[in-house]
Amino acid sequence: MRKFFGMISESIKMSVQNIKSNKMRSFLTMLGIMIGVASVIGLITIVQTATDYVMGQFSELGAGTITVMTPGTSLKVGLSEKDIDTLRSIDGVDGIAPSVSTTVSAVWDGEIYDNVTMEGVDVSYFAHNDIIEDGRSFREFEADGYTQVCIVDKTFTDKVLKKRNVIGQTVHIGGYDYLIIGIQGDSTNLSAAYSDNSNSDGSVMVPYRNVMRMTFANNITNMNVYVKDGASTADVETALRQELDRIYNKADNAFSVINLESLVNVMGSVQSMLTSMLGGIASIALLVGGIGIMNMMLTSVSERTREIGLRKALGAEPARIQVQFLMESIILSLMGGFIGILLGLVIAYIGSSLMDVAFTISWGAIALGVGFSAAVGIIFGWMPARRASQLNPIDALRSE
Amino acid sequence: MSNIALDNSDKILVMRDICKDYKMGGETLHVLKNIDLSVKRGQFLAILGPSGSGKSTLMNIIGCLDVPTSGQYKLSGRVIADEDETSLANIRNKEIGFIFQSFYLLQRQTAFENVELPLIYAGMPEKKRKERVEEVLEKVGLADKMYNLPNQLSGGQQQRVAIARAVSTNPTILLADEPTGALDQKTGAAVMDLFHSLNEEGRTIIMITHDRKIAGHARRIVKILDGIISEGDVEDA
Ligand SMILES: Nc1ncnc2c1ncn2[C@@H]1O[C@H](COP(=O)(O)OP(=O)(O)OP(=O)(O)O)[C@@H](O)[C@H]1O
Ligand SMILES: [Mg+2]
Repeated sequence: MRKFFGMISESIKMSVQNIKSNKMRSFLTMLGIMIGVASVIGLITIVQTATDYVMGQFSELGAGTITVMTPGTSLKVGLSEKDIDTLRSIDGVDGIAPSVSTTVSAVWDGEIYDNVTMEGVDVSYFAHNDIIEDGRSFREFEADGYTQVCIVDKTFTDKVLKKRNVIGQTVHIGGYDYLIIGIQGDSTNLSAAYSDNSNSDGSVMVPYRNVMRMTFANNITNMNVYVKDGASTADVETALRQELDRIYNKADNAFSVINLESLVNVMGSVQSMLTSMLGGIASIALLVGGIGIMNMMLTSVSERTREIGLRKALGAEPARIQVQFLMESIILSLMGGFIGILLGLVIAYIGSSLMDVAFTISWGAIALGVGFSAAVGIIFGWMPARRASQLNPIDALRSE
Repeated sequence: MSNIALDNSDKILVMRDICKDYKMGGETLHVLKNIDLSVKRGQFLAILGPSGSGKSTLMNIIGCLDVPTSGQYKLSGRVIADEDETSLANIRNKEIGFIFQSFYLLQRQTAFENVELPLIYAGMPEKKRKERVEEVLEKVGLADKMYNLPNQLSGGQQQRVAIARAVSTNPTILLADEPTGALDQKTGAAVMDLFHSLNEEGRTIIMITHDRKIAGHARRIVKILDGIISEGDVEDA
């Protein structure tokens, strides 16, 4: 055992000596590993950071939410309030928030603003979307379709009202006077994100029955279904589909159910596919680096044939010679690997700041880099080391 | 193997009918022809012969660096043909000290490190190693050149480093191939003095030379000509 450790430490010493005395060649050989490891780490970290970010956004928006759209058939367009009540009674459904929206004009201070989005939502919407920054959300009794209360967003406050203290004031929207009861913060819902363009005059949220009354619509074609905590979104989705099939008599294309959670899953598999694809490409660089190491080690063995013969004559066992050369190739590729890791992290850092997402050091990628380079050292150093250990001492001594 | 007689226990080395052939193209070159040689423990033997007679070839076989084409060889009671590469390495490390015709020092390592090498392979701990290296380098008169690289040493000094390396592990046999070949007369004589004192310590020395005068330092001379061995004129065997 002691002899074994002595052997390892001597090998390390000799390897370092050898690498030092061949600085340029060693560096060029390490370059291959460096580039390979740097690209593995850089690419994997960038892909991971980017998709983690996008997925985070998605699940923030859609955790436990199923979007149902019901264009319906010519016989039955959309869903009635009664249908919605049926859907509400499905196991695992926490609430259903129909959403309807239309573009209206608003009058404030004698001026007319044409491009205001009026969004009709249900009371249950607020239980799942924490968007009220100031004031309050609707009460159940205000959802009768006749109570005119609204929640305004930042853009509307800035562009139309042009002042901060608006709660309790009345604004004329779509032909009716609405009492402002709340202000919505940075919008986190998808439709607001869509309408967030520069010529929009902002949006106001009102109880959905108000919108339906105003647009003379009797049916609901768009809603969010919220799933209870702990219930399976997939199960709820299946139950929803069954119920909608029954409502629409299995007519084709009468409805669509979008489960954001399954979208997140798709994203996840896209990510792992992308990761392994890029990882595969980068591994080719690593393979080339490994061949470089093998080439250098073979050169080194043939250059040092006489030295190997002498060492054997002085009593070095074949195993010791093998360990010595293997150690040299491992050290070489680990050195390349470490520099490659640093380089890869720099690439990943630059990449993530260009994409404007938070940079996270992936320890998995670093472990991968260390593991990869050690493995390359062992795999590609094995054959040259074995060849050195099997040299016939007298032929080796007599060489050149 | 059993036909090597067992009554040879005072013999450190016994060779029976050793032949070494080299295949050169279609022809076979017989370099060593039916060599019979036995050497007593503590002997100072010279193998004398002209260039190309097979001296180095014989030394390589004695030193377990090369294997004979046929014949039996027993060293310190062990049948060499039965040993694997690893135990051959250990035999070379413990039993034999080589002094090669052209020194063979590692050029990138200091005198100290060159002498240290066989001790590392013997598994000696670092502190003891340092003491031992200093001791043998002092003995060959190189205490002040320990950290010189070979190319910072004269030929004679390099030869003495090679001798120090050969004796460092305290081997039973010292094998020297033309130890004075590259030296002037004065340094050559100093090396011979060193050999005499090493021999007086009880070490077996086998010295290979083409120089009759140098061979005269030994207590027994064996002549080799065209791969055939014959006892020489100085004889105490
Ligand atoms: N590997 C080899 N292949 C072919 N022939 C060889 C080989 N090694 C040695 N010989 C031949 O064997 C013969 C003896 O060589 P050896 O080196 O033993 O001579 P030597 O007596 O040591 O000579 P010198 O005094 O010049 O060193 C030479 O003719 C040489 O050409
Ligand atoms: Mg010779």
